[in-house]
Amino acid sequence: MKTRLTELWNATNKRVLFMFFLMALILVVFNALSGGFILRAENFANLIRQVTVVAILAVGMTLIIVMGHIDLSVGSALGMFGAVTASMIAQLNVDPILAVTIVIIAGFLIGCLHGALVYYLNIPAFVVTLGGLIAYRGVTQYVARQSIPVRTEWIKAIAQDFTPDYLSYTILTIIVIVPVVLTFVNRSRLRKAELPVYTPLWIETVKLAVIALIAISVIVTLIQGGGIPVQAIILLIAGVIITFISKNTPFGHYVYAIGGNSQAARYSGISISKNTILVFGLMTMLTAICGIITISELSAAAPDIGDLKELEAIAACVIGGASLAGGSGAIGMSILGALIMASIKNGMSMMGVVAQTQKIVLGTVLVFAVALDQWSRRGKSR
Amino acid sequence: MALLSIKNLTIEFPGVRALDDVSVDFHPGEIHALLGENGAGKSTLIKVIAGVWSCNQYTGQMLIDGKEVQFHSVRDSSDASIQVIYQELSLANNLTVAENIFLGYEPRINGLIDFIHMRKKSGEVLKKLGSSIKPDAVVADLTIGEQQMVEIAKALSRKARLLIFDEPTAALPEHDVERLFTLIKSLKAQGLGIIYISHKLNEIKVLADKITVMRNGCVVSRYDNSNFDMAVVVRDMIGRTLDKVFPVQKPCSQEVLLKLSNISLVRHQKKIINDISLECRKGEVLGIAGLLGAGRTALFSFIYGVFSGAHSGEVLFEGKKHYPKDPADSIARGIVLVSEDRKKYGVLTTGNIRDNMIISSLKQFTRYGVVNDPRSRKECSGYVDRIRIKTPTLSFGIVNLSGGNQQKVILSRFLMVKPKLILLDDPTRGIDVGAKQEIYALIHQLASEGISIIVASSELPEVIGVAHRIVVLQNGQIKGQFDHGTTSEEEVLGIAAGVGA
Repeated sequence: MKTRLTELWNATNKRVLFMFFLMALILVVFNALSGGFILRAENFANLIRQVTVVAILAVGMTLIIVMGHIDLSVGSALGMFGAVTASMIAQLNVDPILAVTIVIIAGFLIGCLHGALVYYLNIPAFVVTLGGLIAYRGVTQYVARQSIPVRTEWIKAIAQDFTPDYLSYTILTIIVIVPVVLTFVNRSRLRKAELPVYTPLWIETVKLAVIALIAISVIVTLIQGGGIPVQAIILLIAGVIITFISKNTPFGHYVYAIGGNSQAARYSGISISKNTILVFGLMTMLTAICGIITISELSAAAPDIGDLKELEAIAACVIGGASLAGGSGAIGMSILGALIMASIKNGMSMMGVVAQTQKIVLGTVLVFAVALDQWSRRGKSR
Repeated sequence: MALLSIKNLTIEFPGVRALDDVSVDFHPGEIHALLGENGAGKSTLIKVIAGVWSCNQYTGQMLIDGKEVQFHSVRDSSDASIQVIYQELSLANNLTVAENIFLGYEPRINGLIDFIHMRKKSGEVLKKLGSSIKPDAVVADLTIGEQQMVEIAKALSRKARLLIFDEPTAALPEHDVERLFTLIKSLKAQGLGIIYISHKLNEIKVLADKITVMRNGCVVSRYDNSNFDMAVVVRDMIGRTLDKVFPVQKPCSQEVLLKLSNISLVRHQKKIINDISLECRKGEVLGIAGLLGAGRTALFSFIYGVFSGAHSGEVLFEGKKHYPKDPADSIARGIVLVSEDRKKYGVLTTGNIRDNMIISSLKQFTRYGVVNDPRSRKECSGYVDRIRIKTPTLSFGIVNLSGGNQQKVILSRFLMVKPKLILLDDPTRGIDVGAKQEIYALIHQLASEGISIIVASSELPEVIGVAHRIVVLQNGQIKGQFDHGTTSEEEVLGIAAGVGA
């Protein structure tokens, strides 16, 4: 039995385990401190709502950071996209679906512009996106100089409604079953190719069981409290798709390669221009989606929406272990980072801690988390 | 009394025991050579001595003058008068030569940095080394050979009782090598202890007083200059006897694959290549012999599409006009370049072996936009076996491999794209005897499959031995052409150095 446990221990990703443990700790501690409000079903839904935007931004930001860049324009761009969408619908009488589509495409194109400026004019991403941060905030403040109300029902539903129960159960089933299917398919492919299958079946089973357990407990709790928030589905889809892209497509490989050593990547025949433009296009497109989610949350577009969101997204990635030097980082971990920050915030709110103090705490937690990460990496590489 | 004494040193990293109960003594006034294949543990031993690996990370003892020492950092060893000149250069590229030489030990005047003293002293050290490098030059603008010279100047400018050279001549031109040897011998005469690591056995023969041979992290044998036999030493190093170094050649076809006509390359108003015409046939191994600065790397970067300068002349590839555009285009046509500076242009430091190998050939493994994991792993394992890359698994981080093994991974990367023409720039730099032979055999095997290979190297025996035809490059021009077996090292060296008509 002892050797089984040591085997299991060796096979686990210590970082992921630590992050989950930390989250659980945070939830339990705050639950006790706030008199049992955290682990309530209604609060779970709140927590998920609070984390969605930063998490989606962190998904895109991970790829940007892995490539060795940064995107500071994200918060202001989010505001701009939200304001423009609201304005198009309320003031220009554009059909909401059309408005949303236009804004998302515009997001992609603007991101591509960022990437093109970075690559072709050799302007550091920091500078290009800093310019964006300033300029787009100006656009937001102009378009939404008086708050624009959002009345479109389905847009409001994104951040305020829940998915119907039957859909939630379907999603739960998918989340539980798909990893199992994938695991078996993968193992049979490896076996067919006569390659060694590194992880024994029982360890994989344990991992799948853990995933299933967490998914079931979270989703059932959510359903009790009203259901899965619609925006969480968007986060789920975005997270899954982009994680898949980053691990399994050439584009994903190239992003990591360019971040690791851009000269070597170039000499290996990788197109730095195409991949840079795409990475930024993707980020700003996700930002546009977040802009729409945000105006849905508020049922309005205000001049200051999205303020400082880029810093929260970067913090999430960094807590999740991404290196600002480029070349390393994982999307799942960044989402976990966002969750950790959000649960601390949520806990403090439940305890009645004022916003000012919350900021002090979060800033400290960020530095502490990275220090911990660096400490755990000591002596690992040459 | 031994200057430095290593006793029972053992150090382990995840997956590998790099040093296993190693004991060696180094004496003053002695050149002690450390030999072994890549991965044998030589560089690790040096890192322990230099304090890169602190005393907390190993078991065993280090004694200086009979007293035990514990180094926690590189500064400790430097303060103990131990200086190292590394194989992988460690200079700050954005600073000047003088600033690098005095990095960390800047001379002060009234609490501020004394730049004048710095410039003067670094100029003196460089002059003593016989180098023409200016102290104000920015390191990033220097070639590898010049950068190495700065490294040596840096080590010599600190107080040193023990000097460690890790493959110092890998990128030095021949006449600098001579000067270096004279310098090392004079340092030995002054009473310094010298540890010398090199794969060039002929250098060891000339320089070394003592030899210690390592294999797989252990010391396998020790010799005195009086009693060592090259063949025996090689056998100790690789654990098997080495037969003929260069494989027998198969004749190549007459069909011309690459034709350069009147190529001139200009960069920063300097004509680096001056009106060169040459051909490479299908299945031919063409050797370009030349000293540092002759223009080999420039020529290669031009053909590959990464040359930053103006060019004139015509390139025909497979009979069609070819405008070298960028690496992606070259790879698509079947031309690949294995660069001489793998740290800068080759290794993806944050990746593992598999990532580094498949990165140029991802399209091969991609179906419906998805990269096929099992197939790519199989290919990689194939290359690991074929070229004998020493690594526990495919997911091992590439930075943990020895220099030579890293080079093998990069080579695999470019073999995976199934090239028609391979440009090899100094391919066996920093690679040991056993692996060198494997690479020569590989070159010949590829040639016999119809792949053309152009090998550029300043290691003349290598170029002469492995190529069907040799072209000698001197100062941007072709000054000699020979078929295999019709020339000697001295003749080629003479032409390459510009001696005589």
